[in-house]
Amino acid sequence: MMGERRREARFRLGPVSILTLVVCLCLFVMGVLALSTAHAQLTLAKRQAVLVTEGYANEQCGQVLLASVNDTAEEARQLGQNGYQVASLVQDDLDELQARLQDRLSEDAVVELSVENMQVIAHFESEDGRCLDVVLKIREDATVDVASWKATTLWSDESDDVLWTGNN
Amino acid sequence: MPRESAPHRQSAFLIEAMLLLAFLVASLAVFTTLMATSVNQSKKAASLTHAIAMSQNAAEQFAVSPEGCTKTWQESDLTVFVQVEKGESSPGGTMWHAHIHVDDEYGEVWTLDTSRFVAQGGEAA
Repeated sequence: MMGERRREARFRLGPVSILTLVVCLCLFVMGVLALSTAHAQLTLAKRQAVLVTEGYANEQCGQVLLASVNDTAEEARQLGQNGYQVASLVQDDLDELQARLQDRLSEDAVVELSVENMQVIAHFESEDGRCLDVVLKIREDATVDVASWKATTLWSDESDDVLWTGNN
Repeated sequence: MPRESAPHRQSAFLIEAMLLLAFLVASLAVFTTLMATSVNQSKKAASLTHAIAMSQNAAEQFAVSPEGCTKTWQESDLTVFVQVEKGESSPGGTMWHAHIHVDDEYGEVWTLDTSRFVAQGGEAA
């Protein structure tokens, strides 16, 4: 009986030790929370960076498209051709232009070009959902107007969207 | 039940105090690392977010006026540099390119590339 009491006494923690343990536990929890919050902030900032980069990559593609259509229109104007002929010329070069624009973006990006009713319609969609929709209107006098230039972001509700896996 | 002698109790207290101190020092080392990493990452995130906003402002200025945009300016500890390059001229107009980079005191934080086509009549999209 006395031996048991002695053994119990040997492992007994003093109040100071218990207080220290509690303080350490609290500090540990706060440290982990601070780290996970900071990591989440950095992950979000990096995501924003990716979206901005992709947005401006789309913008560059849009500008290349505008330049190309404007060049075709200008050349046609100098030859005395009208808007319908410009639309036809753009339609003929559409595949080559689409390939050129696709090369500027990543492999997973989507580039869709079409010519409908004297309008060049383009849709650029990046891997992370940044989109740019451009509509260029070809007038009868073979000039080109920007009818629409709309940048949007697609929202995908990913259930496995993890801000931090704890791997890095 | 035999009472523990005073020297025995004192040595037990000393051992406990030393163990406690060692544990405390080890814990504080871990917490300091945790906190320092958190602060570092937080600063990095804030700096990157600010740099992105500044680069977008620069890109929009460039879009309005490729030639006349501000080439460099400073905000808090970040500096924006805009390198404008006149690209290929074509029958329809001129393509302008801008390489925007935002630096802090340690180096480059963020870069952004954009372009602007200015049609023959001077009208950009």
